Amino acid sequence: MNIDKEMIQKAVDEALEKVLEMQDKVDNSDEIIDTVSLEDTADDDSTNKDKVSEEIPENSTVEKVEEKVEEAVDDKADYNFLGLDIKIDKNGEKFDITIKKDDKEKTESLDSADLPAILGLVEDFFNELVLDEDLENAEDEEEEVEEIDKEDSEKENEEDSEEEDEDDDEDEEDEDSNIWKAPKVTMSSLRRKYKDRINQVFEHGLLAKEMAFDMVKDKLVASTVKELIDKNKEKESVLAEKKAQLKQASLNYLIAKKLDSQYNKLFTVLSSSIADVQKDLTDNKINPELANKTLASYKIIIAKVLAAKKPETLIAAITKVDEIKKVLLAKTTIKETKVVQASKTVTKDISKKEIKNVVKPVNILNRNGWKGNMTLLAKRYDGIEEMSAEILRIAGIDEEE
Amino acid sequence: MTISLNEFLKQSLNLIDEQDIDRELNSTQIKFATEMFKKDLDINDIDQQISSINRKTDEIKNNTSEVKNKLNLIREAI
Repeated sequence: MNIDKEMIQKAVDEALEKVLEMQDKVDNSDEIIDTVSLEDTADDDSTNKDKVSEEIPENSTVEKVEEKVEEAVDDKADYNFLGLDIKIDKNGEKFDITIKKDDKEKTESLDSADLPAILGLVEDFFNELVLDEDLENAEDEEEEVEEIDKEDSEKENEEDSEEEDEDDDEDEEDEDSNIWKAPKVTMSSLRRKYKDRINQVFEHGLLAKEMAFDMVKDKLVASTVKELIDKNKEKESVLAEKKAQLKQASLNYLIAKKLDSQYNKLFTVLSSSIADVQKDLTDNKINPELANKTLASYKIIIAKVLAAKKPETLIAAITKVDEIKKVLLAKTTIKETKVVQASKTVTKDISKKEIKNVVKPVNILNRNGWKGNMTLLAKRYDGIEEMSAEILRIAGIDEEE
Repeated sequence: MTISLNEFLKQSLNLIDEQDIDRELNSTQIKFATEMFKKDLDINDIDQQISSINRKTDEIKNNTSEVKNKLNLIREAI
């Protein structure tokens, strides 16, 4: 018997039929009819049925439905709800509810057989069904894994060379399957048992996974890490090469700067030296031969310097120029000394007569200098010596003496 | 249900999925990529230094070349 449509429809039809019958009696009678007596009559007519309310027929319909349900429940009843076979047995004051679907069956004892309680049982039953299906799926996967393991083990037996390693793998896999088997048997009960602490258990499982992952992640990412390390090494080699280039560029800069400085210094020294040679030659301090020889030396030095690539060469050239300059200066000094000595020797040979000729008498008219002579004679520059000699002759001083 | 530590670790390893591995790979790649990016920056910086130094060296060499020309003129003159 189904609790839904048929039972309710029947109860409603009976109640409606009763109401229509009462209404028909009222309509077809010419006398005034007491509705109470009509209800009594209806009660008499209906056997095994409850009383109907006097004033509200709709309420009587609802009560009728409930009574029908209770009546049905009081007896041994079977229902089909959402594809489930629900069986309700009254056991004293309690009701034994048995829910069955396929091979799964569940029996619970309830204080009342009301709809919310039955629906709660149905919900629990469905939850258990889902859990069982999960387990079945897991078992199927396990069976597949075992089949694969069997195939692998057969292959491993064929390969003698890799026998030892693969035996180890087999052992590990067997252990894995054994590990899986043990908890699967009690997984459903565990889930029910720890349903209040499912989050804590889940977090603990995640931590365990992270711990295990930390242990093996180096191996898992080894290939990627190796590739990245290779790339990193390439970058490092490029970086080292660039650093070497920077060092070489810095060295080149320092050498260039030093060369430039030395070239400027050499240019200054050479220009000065050549100018000195020209001056000495002009002043007859050196003879042309020495000048040419000096310039030839400078020419050689310049030729060497132009091909120089090291600052040391330039420094040596500057030193050489300085030495040549010193030698030239020394020769010039010696010549000047000889000239002075020669002049002194000549002076000794000069007679008093010559001295007198040298030391001429002072013209009193212009003894204070030509600028101080304000006389008319000051303009007469010609014949001053003759005039002085005449004066001396008149004065009786003989020049020959 | 009692299991050994090794069995526990094996069970824990079975929980590792592709997302875990991808995440770890990404983390590793980011770590190395950061290092390589720093090296790229260093290389770029050194390149700039080298080009700057080479430019200054070229300027100095030009000056030196002018001085050499003057010396060559002197040599030819004497």
